[in-house]
Amino acid sequence: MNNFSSLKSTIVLRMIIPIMVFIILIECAFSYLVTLHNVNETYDRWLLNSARSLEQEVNVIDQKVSVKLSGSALKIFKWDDVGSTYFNIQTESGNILVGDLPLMDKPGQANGQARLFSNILLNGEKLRMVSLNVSAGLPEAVLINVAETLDRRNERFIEMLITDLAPQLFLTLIIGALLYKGVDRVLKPLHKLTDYIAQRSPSDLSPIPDDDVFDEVVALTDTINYLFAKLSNSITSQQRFISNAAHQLRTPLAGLKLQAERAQREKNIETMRPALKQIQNSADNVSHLISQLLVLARSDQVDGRHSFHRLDLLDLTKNICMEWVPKALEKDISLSFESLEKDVFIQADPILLTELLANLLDNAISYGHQQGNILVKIVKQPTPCLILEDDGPGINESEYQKVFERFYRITGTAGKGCGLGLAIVKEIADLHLIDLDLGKSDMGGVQFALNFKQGYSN
Amino acid sequence: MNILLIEDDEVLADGLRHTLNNSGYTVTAVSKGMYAKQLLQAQGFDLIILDLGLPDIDGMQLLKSLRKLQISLPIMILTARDSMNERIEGISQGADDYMTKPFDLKELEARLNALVRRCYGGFSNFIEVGPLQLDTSCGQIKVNDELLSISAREMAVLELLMLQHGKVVSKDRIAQQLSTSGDTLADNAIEIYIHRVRKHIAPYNVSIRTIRGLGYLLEDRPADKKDE
Repeated sequence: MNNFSSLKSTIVLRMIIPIMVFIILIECAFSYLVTLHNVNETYDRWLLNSARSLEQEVNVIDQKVSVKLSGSALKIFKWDDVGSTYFNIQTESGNILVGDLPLMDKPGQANGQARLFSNILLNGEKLRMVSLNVSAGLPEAVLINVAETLDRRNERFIEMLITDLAPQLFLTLIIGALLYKGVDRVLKPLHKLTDYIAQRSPSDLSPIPDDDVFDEVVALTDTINYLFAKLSNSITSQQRFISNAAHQLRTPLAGLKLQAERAQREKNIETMRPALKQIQNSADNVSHLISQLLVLARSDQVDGRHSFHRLDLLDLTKNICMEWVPKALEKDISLSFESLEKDVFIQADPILLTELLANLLDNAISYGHQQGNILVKIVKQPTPCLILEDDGPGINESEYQKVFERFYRITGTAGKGCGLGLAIVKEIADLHLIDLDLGKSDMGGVQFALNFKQGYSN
Repeated sequence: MNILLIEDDEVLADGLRHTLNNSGYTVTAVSKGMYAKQLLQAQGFDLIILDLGLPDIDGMQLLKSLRKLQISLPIMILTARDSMNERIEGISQGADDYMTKPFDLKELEARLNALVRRCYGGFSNFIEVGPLQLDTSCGQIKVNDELLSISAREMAVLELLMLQHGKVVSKDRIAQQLSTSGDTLADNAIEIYIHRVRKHIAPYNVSIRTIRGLGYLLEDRPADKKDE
């Protein structure tokens, strides 16, 4: 009974109906009690009047109390269209002067006043009785008792109750119906929003108008719009990237095609060779570009952080450096490593971090001078930091921001790579929350400092 | 050496067929996976080169089914996908080696040779650096057919460097090699041994380069002044 899947039915069944039931019950109870009280009050008063009218008939004859009621007076008195009326007038000493009620006890006191009314049982019938004690100007006190059946009261009670309750219930039901309709109206904006979004094309990510009246719906619309904007940005940047990449691929492919056609025009193998060599170079460049693009795409993944492991930065870096030494030696460049630490633990993706270092080393070697030097250092305090510096040509301070942009080439370096190396480094650094710092090295070239902000060292 | 090449890209198939034929292999190329099984049953082949990106059948499935048919020929797979998962799956499904496209021809030939050697030839037991020759089966180092006269420990160091020829060997690794006998080494023991080995190999224009912070590298060239 507790799992309503519809907001509307939940509001109706959990809120409106219980409240209605509660109100109706209260109404009924209240009406019942009030009507009962009113009916009794009224009829009791009439009963009392009857007793008082009988009081007039009590007089003193020969210093004794007596009552003289004519037959017609009696008839009038006892006439009742519904139910019956009984009475008697009795003396204090216990004589019934007149009437058809048996002797009654004098009614007791209640709250310091002489209690007048009581409920009695006569011949199996329930009667309401009033007992009036009269003693003024009489040698002996008399008790006037008048009793009536409850028929009239009950009839009247039901009549009054219905008259009182029916309109109230009717009104309550109308309110209930209005509330029910109200729920519909309140939920309408949600339906409107749903319908609006549903009828839009799936590729339409433009903002939804948030001119709605209700704050909650506006909040919902704003959140949806925010997500749309994020998604839209993501798609736009992906498209931009793909188009950039496609353009970047066109140039080496154009070169390839041209060199192939050139080669075919040559007559002998010797003159063909240069063209063929260029073809091979172009192919290598394209291959390199594609690999870099894939790395970039991989480091773009939203859930990249799930593949983070705890690893020893020192160990990883040393291994990577050892692998790159032979390549550095091809240009007679000396690659060395320095650290005073035994181990430096961080949370990272080993594959991506390897890519990052590989790109930095590749750059240092590619742009470095013959017989140059590259130094890789790792420090632990205050946070783990990896520093890579060289004595190469360095980077102009004015280009510090630009070098990390995709496809950016420093003037004069065209042909050596595709311009994605540092963009990859930056992406991977951002993913790892690394503070990437570029500056001039004491050795004469550039210095890259990677500060692992999440540094905890064990 | 009969090679069955299963490759659907015309340009690649054409190139491979010609270059490998020139290198002494006999290459039969098919462009569809289903032809492969038929051919394998009809003719005798010594090696299979399988491209995973075939048009008619999933290369990985073909690989699996070939192994299921008890075909135990060495299989080299060519794949455009270079993710770790793909490589692991390829090897675990029964491939002996993989190459990612695009590849260097020289590397492909080297790996084919290695595959052939592994499956059909004996191991090449010798590693040569300059005139030095290491017999891996017995750990002896000869130069010009004469045993090099060095101590056992020095031999251990030189053997390790020759086995890892072309790669940097860390001090830790060398220490590991030397202390297999269980005794601990003095702090600069490794430097001392390296120094001694250098003296022994110097006459043959083979040297050990010190890579600061990383280790040592055996090189087939005369020593640098700074490494003395």
